[in-house]
Amino acid sequence: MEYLIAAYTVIILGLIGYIAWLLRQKLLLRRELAVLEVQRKSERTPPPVPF
Amino acid sequence: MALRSQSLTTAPGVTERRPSPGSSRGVGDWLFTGVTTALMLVALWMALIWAPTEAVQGAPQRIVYFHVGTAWVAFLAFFVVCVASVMFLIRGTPVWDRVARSSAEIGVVYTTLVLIGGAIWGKPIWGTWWSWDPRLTTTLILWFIYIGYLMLRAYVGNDNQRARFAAVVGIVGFVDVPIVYYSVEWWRSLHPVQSIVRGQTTWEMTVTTILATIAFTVLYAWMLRQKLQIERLRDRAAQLQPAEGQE
Repeated sequence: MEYLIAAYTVIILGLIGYIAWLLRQKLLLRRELAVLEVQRKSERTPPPVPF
Repeated sequence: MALRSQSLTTAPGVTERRPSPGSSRGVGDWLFTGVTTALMLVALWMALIWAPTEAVQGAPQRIVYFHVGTAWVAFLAFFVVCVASVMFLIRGTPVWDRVARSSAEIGVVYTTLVLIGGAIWGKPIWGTWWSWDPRLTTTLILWFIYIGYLMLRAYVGNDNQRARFAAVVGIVGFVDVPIVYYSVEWWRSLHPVQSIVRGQTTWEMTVTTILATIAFTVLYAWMLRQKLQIERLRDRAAQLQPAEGQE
């Protein structure tokens, strides 16, 4: 029975760990992309013209 | 094969849009996640509780349900790598390279689980964690091939060169998959033969194995979708990064 528990624990934790790592990567990349897009927009916006 | 030299990043101006919770894509994502989770839970319940205990092997035989499912997905993932690599070499479009690298990573995760799960099953049944049996050895070689594939992707600097080298390894590496599958028939092996295919199991065992395999296949599709979204975001971020010296 202990081998059965060990095998299913390894498989389930392995899959959950990989999924968590994927979702974390996705979240971090979305944040990074949001920052980069704001930077890109601010670069494109021309400075205010003085009167 | 003619290769178009083009950037391996997303086309300029294409932005990754996050689906709003109410949009059809957002609902589809949640539905896909829900169906995948439900299938995995049903497969787990069938494997651990519903299926009858095998008379000779006892409880450790239940490991086989998830072992077969993970092994099938590992083969499927490497098949997808092979097809995507062929398509990349023919068309030269970055999307095929993205599919290949995403599927290879998932394939390595599943092959690792196959090797560990198999070793845990082997200890009570064979009396040893590992044997240099044809099936086990060829599976270990498969794992090394795709670890090598991922290492190649990590160390070759030029985008186009990396994608082309990886595509060749992805195609050649797939040759090991049929060798793994038929190894139990071609050589004398400790590993059990395809008992489901040969009708050597009860119907409950067959149904559980098939459902676990379907559940793992759906989970693979879900993971591939997540990984492809990540690769698209990564390519977009690389495109938006200010060039060195411009900061």
